[in-house]
Amino acid sequence: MPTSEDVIRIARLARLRLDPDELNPMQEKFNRIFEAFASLNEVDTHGIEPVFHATEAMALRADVPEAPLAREDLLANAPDSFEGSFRIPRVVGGEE
Amino acid sequence: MSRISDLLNADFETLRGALDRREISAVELAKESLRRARATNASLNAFVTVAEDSDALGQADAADVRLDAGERNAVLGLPVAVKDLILTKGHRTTAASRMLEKFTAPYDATVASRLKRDGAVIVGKANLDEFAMGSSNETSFFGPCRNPWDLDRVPGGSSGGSAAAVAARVSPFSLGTDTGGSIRQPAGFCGITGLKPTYGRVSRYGVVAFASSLDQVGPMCADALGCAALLESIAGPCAHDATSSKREAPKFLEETRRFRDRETLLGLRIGVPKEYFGEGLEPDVRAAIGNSLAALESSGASIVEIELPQTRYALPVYYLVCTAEASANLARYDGIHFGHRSEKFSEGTLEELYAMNRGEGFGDEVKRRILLGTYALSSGYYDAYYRKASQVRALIRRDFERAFERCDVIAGPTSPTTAFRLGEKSDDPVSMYLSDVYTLSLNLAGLPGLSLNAGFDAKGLPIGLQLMSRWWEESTLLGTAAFLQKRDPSTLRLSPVAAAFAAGVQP
Repeated sequence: MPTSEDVIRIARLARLRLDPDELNPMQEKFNRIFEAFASLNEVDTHGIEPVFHATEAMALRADVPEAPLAREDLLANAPDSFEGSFRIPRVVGGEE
Repeated sequence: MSRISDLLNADFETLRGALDRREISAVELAKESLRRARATNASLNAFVTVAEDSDALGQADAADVRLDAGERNAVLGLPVAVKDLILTKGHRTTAASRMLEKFTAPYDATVASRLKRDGAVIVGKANLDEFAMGSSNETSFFGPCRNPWDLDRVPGGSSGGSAAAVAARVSPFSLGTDTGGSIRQPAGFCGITGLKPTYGRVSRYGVVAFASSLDQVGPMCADALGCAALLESIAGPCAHDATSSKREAPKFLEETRRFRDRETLLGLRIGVPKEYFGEGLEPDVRAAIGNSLAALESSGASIVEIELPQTRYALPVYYLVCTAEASANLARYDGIHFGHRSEKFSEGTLEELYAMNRGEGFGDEVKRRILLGTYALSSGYYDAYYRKASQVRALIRRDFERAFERCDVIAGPTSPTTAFRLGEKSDDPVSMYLSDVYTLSLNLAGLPGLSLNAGFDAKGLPIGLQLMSRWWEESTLLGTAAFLQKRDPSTLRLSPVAAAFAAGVQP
């Protein structure tokens, strides 16, 4: 069951800012969800190969480059751009 | 009451026939569809964006030219609402999120380009739960969509707008997506027909990704024949989606018509899972499903009791798998390449900029699922949660393989209840998740499933009957549904909003 420290830690991992007043309701709903998940421990899965995909093997295509979208079309959805590049506000420091 | 209005309320064959005989034009139909979309959007909120006249009527005009020249196909000239999770080039595509409020699609999803190729007329982008995460359409950034059978109730979700648009007969067709029941549950709540195809049958290229091993686009229409027509247009191999199957799509419309016109259902084995009739199932729903099973049996089908013993684990398995995949898929929204950019950021680290953009851009349910998925995948918890869930997923799939040795179609309720009231479950995620308890397993196994109307409860709300079949056997589902709908047309009854259009009253 995730603790409130867990919630803060995974919010940082997920690059998701939570306001202080969001934290408690999030934690409380989280716990209710994990309670509902506990039943999974009843199932004996010893030796069962996990399934990560729904059906058939994936279809591969020839590794041939195709024309990408036009630069201006891609930049059109950027919140900010400058001279053909994405632009962000000044950032300092950070995790290394 | 005009002829156009009647036809927009009619079944697929009647509408298709009138267009093909040139008794009405695609432009007339599109005009009425757009009029209805605008007239109802204040009350129903089925659309995030209604198409511009110039755009939709231009497509309709082109369809008329093709029809006049003698061209015929199942969707040519018919209006369709497209879930706003599907990219349509040059149009805003929002996923009902603040994150994509200003996003214009730079290309068409494969399903959108196929609809355009075949001459369907896109009349708008339908409302949904934010990023398709919800079962009631209440998590939309653009406000909840409402149920045309009762405006105080939800249309279901996440394809709530797509279902409501058809139930109100704003458009005869819509496209939805189904990750854990998002086509079937709203189809059931709104009294229409909706199909979730076999995983890989329909391309996911250009569809905003939620959970990539579960997501599938599918058709929604008043009746099963309309779903067959729409599926025929969108299905088939796509080079841009590595998970799209190389199998060519069958002639769904022709196969469905042939099945509908069978004399009997002799030889068809219907499996009834006892796990789908347990605690929490409303008595009216149980009774209606019982009547449908009796109708199938009296038509010659045999009823077999089957077991799907892992059903009670489908909910945790589904939520662990879908949130894990969602946490990875939604990592792309950084507010730099596209998406919401916080205006509050003045100076800080790049991580803080991402976190602010995402914290403001995503709503509560989306944040909850990203966090849940991040937790389930994080170091130290992966084996206990994600891997464990994926192992039980294998067992769920095995349940179905065993069941389909004994039957051809599995039948049961789509949801345990009929449409609930707005706000009734929005504070309790687990009770909201339980409204999909009968639909989740199928996505985990990649199987096709369909919901059709099976009658109404004491409050007059529609009840959904869910049919499931083996992989790639959508025609059996569509055919069985069409057979039932031909036998009992009362299940195609109009919602009050659609009936008001027919009476010439402004709903």
